[in-house]
Amino acid sequence: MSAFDASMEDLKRRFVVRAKKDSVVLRDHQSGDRALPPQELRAVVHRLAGCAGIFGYPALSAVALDIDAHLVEANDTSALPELLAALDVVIGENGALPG
Amino acid sequence: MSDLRILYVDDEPDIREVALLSLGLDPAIECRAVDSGAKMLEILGQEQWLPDLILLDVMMPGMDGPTTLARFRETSAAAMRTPVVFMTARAQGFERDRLLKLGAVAVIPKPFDPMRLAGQLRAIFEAAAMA
Repeated sequence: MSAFDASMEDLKRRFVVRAKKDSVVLRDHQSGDRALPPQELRAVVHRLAGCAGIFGYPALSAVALDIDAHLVEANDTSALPELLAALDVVIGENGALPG
Repeated sequence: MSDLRILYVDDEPDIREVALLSLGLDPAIECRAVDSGAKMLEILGQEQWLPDLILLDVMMPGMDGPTTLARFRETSAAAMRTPVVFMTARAQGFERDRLLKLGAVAVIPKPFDPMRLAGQLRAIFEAAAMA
């Protein structure tokens, strides 16, 4: 494995660990246990839209980008369950990682 | 020895790392990265290291990319000539046109392809130099 590939793998692991935390935060928001202010919610979604595809998860990026657009246009969070489902897929594929 | 100096501005540390790794694939590119528009203006204000091209994230807390670009353009004559490329998850249609009208020479979508980023930016820089 090249140094580039090894570094990318490290960053991908870090992304998945953070994705697990994002999933918890978004579930808490969705359930009403801990609602995020709109700007913070958009920051989480926007980051997922920008990052996930870089680390090999284009479907997660696409869902996050779609929700990001809805948040900008109408603060619409109705598609959040789709993002949580996409996060579950990524987390499920990386179940052995800590986080 | 570098023949293309790039300053990358993005608040997201993992994406900064990926971009630095990606641009490091081209040994003739020298890239520095900062985490905010304010830091970009601070570094460029010192005039000790001036980039040939700036890669600027659009959505950042505090000062966003478009505001950073507008303030940068006010700083010097050289700042008017330095090509700026926006990077954003919303790089299509109206949003892309809006960003180009603000004075960017190109808009690169996020997520970007780490294997292609250096080549993309080199091509954009060369096209801007010819314009």
